[in-house]
Amino acid sequence: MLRAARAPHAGKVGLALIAVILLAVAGTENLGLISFISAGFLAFAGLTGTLFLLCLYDLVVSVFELRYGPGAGRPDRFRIASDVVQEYVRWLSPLGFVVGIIVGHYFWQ
Amino acid sequence: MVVAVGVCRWHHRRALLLAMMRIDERWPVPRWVVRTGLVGAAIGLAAVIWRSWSVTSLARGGLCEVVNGAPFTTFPYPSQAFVLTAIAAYVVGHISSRYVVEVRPELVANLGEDKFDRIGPVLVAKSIATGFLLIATILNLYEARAFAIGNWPITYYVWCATAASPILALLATALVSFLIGRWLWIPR
Repeated sequence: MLRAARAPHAGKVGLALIAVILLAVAGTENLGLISFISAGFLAFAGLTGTLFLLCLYDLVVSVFELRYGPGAGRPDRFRIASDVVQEYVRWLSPLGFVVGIIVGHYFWQ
Repeated sequence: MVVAVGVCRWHHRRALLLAMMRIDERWPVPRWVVRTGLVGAAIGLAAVIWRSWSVTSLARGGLCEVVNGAPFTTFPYPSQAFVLTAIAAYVVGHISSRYVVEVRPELVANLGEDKFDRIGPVLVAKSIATGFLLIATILNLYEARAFAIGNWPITYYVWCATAASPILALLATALVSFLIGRWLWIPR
């Protein structure tokens, strides 16, 4: 599976996964199967869970690099470049914090 | 499973351990002091978590009044004060980080490049990020389940703690937000 994977595709899969989770949570809440508050926390769990899977993927690739060496298995094909991670952190961190704390305050109330 | 087995092998763990132990390159203190300090910090953290768990388990009847299964609390400040304090402290944390980058540019390098090109520190940083996101996911799932089945969510315990000491809660909000802004909103 790793041989078929490419880092840009990992990001697209992550975006698709977040969209599917958000649609599923919204649909479930709309049908009355879960409360609105639970749906909100599930949506955040979907977001952090997807980011967790992406980080886990990146960690797995790094461990394979450690095991087989940086030259083996064409690691650049799988590696998520550090500048991609830094751009995510640079923009997602303030956006996520401010939006998250305002939405979190709404749930707090 | 394959990854777990791979990491558990000694020559893989060695790179991780060395990455954590090499902080003596920046801090000129004996290695045994660093190791003793890490063990002491781990024991202290466990003690604090255990103490916090013991105290909060009494929160339902102790720290705040419970009405219809939820805490009935009144706060001396509007709740927006906590939100604005958190955002302000977050921005101040980021500004302090920018200041450090401007004053000591030699500290700046991309993960995996320049002085941070060793695989050990890269793995440590990625492991911490992965673990942090896993914990955040578990906490969100716990909250969702707690609200769904009627258990007390963590939110209610935070309400009680805030009602017990609003000043400390405001300070804790500012401190945590400052650290997040300093560490996670990286400057260009």
